[in-house]
Amino acid sequence: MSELYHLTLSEAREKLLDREISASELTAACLGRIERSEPEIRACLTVMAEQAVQTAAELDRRGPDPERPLWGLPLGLKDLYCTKGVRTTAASRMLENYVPAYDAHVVSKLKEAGAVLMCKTNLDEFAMGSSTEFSAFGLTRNPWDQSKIPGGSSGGAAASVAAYQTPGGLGTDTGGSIRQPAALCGCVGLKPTYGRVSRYGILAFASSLDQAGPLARRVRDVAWLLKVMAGPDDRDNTCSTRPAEDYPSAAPGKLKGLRLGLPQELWEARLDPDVAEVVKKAFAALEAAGAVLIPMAMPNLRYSVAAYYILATAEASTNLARFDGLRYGRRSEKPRDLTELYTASRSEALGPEVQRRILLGTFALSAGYYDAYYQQAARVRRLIRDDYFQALDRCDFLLAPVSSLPAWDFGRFAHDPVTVYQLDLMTLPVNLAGLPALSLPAGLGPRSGLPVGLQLIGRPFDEMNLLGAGLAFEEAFPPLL
Amino acid sequence: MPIDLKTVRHTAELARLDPGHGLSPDEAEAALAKLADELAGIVAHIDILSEAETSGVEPLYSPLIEAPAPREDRPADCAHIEEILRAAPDRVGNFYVVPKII
Amino acid sequence: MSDLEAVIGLEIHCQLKTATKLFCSCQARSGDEPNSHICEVCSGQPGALPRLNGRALWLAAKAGLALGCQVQEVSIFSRKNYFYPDLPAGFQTSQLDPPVCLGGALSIGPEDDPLLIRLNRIHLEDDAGKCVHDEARGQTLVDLNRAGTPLIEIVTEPDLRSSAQTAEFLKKLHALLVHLEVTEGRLEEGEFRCDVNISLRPRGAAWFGTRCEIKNLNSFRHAAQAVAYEAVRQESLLAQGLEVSQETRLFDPVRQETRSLRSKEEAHDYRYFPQPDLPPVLISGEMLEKIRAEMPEPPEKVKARLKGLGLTDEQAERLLDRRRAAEYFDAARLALEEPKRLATLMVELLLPACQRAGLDPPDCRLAPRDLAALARLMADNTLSRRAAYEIFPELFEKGGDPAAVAAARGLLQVSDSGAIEALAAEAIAAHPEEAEKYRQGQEKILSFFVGQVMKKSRGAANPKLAGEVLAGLLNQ
Repeated sequence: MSELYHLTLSEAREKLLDREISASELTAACLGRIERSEPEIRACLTVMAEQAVQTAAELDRRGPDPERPLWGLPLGLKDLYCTKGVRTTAASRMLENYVPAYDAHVVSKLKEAGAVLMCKTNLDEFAMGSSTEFSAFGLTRNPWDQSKIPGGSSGGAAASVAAYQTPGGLGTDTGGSIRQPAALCGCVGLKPTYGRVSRYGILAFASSLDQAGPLARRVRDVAWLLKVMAGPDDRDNTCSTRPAEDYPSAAPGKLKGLRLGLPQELWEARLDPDVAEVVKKAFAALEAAGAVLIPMAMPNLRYSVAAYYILATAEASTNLARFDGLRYGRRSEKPRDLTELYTASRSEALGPEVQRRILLGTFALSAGYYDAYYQQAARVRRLIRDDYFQALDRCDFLLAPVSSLPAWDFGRFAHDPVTVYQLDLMTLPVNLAGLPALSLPAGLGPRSGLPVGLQLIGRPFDEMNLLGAGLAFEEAFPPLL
Repeated sequence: MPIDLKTVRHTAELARLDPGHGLSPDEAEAALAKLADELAGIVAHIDILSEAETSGVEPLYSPLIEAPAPREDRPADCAHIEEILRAAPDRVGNFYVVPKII
Repeated sequence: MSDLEAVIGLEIHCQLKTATKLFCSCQARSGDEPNSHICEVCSGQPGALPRLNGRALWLAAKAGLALGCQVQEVSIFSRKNYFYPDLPAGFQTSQLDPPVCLGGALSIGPEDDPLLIRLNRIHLEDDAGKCVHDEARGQTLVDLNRAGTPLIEIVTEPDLRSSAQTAEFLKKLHALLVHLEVTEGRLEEGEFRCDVNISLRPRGAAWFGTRCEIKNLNSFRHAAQAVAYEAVRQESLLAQGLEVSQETRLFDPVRQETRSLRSKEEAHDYRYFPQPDLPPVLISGEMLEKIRAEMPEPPEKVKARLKGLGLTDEQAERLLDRRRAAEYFDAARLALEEPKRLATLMVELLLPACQRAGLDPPDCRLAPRDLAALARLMADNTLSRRAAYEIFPELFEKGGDPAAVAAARGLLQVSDSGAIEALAAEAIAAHPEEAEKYRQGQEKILSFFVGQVMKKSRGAANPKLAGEVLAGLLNQ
């Protein structure tokens, strides 16, 4: 473990500031790692090698700047973040050659903070999926076992970090898309509170559920990334005006006396034996350290998958209406008329899962079905959030599985969308409630040898304490990467 | 709630999608039927929603807790109009071009 | 039409007077180069998000207060989904339930017997872009400068019964919103346009017939003509025992007829749902108080006040019709309390000139105090009516003191007998022989002296007065 690319983000940061290593050296090491690992892992849709080398050289010329929290750090971006002048595809044929005219808010912040943007990572098309298999541009492999999926939709981001291509990356989480791939690849992943991070310039899947967040190999690393990502943005009317906090300064919490609520509806679901075993050990370790585990009934979680797949697809169906081949993106060749231009462009350039979700969402909003589906789902959403608030009144954090399965084989659920949707049960209720959640590695499954994760769920805007608890967990469950 | 072929066809039209695009009529019909099956399967699971007791519950459309005030009415010039227009599949001068609207 | 009555409701789209668009900071102005006021938000780029213009909300609430609506403390934006090339995001951001204002009314007809036209609602929404049809090449060109421009849609209850009422209501509503500075209200720019819903039923019936909607009427006259045509068309269908089919129609002002655009079967399913990118819209009591404080006098009150000053009904209306004319009038009155004279000058000279120049009176070069000065010159006979009309174009164009302009053109009549007396005394002193002749009875010689006074005054003296003054002096 002597290579520069093995450094965690926090380690690399210190060495950069101490001038022990230069931004160019680290960037070159990571680019080399990308070049060697990509043929197998295929985490990246675009590698910005030239640009990264230039940025790093420019940073080195000026010297380290402690005022820029991410100075010289190479990072990956899920290819859902608009990057000015750099192709942004959302892993869709529709946007295969789309070059945004502007940077997402978060991208501007990363640049200001001195980050070196390395690559645009793979995802399920428009972030719709849990395995990255729905990318229009090919599979990404799990670095732990290349016959397995890396999770999704931020599968490229998680695989890239797990393959040591970059010390950290940015994903988005609409129903678990940061936490689940982080868990399946053995990374740390944070879904912040809804409104903690600006969504401006991030291609929208479901506006009331989407939230951008970091993935890395340590809790402190995601804290550094969050410090830069979080905070107000007057271009996003759903972004809180609260200033970002100094998350890296979070003090490790104490496990002794920590009250952890266990949502029964999730723990009683069928867990893969590997997952069950890792969790059992984890519970024992937590209790041994003095944590108090409190089973919590959250009865409305049983409706959460149904509510989510109505609300998320309804919003998606109209968020994706702008992809019509008129102002950008792929336009069908020689359509007979305007209607065909729309229909052909969309039918040719959007993948089957995206089309399925657009249709489901369109159906849920259409005349005659709105009340029974969309409206009812929104009412259930309130019940689910109330369940969370009540549960969080009785404990410090909730503790839940991230995925009932470790990383699975490619193609395993290819013909079974319903089962895949059900797999999201562990993660998506948190998005319905808009809460922050931290996905942490808990150990390796004894049979599969694959990572298994746990997630801590906190109160709105309580990221500081959530990260503190995460640091305590990290001491109890050593990092896998 | 059943989701039949007619509903799927209507929904696809609303969404400007054609499940049978580029297929022969027979294949298109089969593709539509397959899609209807898939959607019916999904909707069957989603119908669990009707079991939830929600009378008197206000819908929650967004988990937003706090939001900024509206912005001031102060104009700002857009610095990247050309980059925006450059992405257009077809343009004449600064106009976007689409087939004639009937 | 003896046994049938028309039942008419309106949906008026009125562009708000803001500097920027509803959801982005691009300038809200039409008429420039295509796509010169666009950004990632209003051109529907991936990832862009809307941010509400607070001024637009303010103006919508102001319109609501003036129309007696219940301004909603909380309203929400919804997406209205449909595909069209001028709609970049694939949805319009509008309001469904609740809108920014509910209820309200505006009365028309004589003051002693008004007809109350109830309003259903006012909601905020963004406008679409513009399509230009290029017939020659069989293509359509899309300009998004207008996309995102803020509008309010005012929806009335079906309380109107005739084309005349329709036109009167629209005119009055337009004047009010212009007066409030909620809108510029330029009809030719489509800043105030309406859709008309019309059906027929037996006079006095409590039910409604099948209605047609006539889209996009952007003049009061066209709205009235469309209603008149459509009432006759529907009546003749019914008279033949045919049914009126529910449809959307367009008015053709050249042919003076409406024609079918689409039937109900082709009606859209807009799939409205709350716009998740925008938080609920809040209007506090404090904000309403501030709006009330800046609210100008309502037009009826202004009219009553003007008539109280002695203006005729027509003069008062003319001053109300032109935006900010009353404001100018009031400023002029500060310099000269001669309301009738000022109103006459404004109606006859200033307002037509403003109309031609496309200016609001307070924005023209002729300051209110100078118009007052002009009126004063006319009042004390220093300037004839004809001379006033003669110098007005120059005053309007360049501004300045009317007395100086008139003097420079030699149009002032010196009617000040003191000034004339001095000139007359000078003339008599300079010509003692002629004076002697006059005194000896040669009275014709008086015209010689008048000529001298006119010469000395460079033609500005009032000749009749000069004669009187000279005769008085010579006869002493």
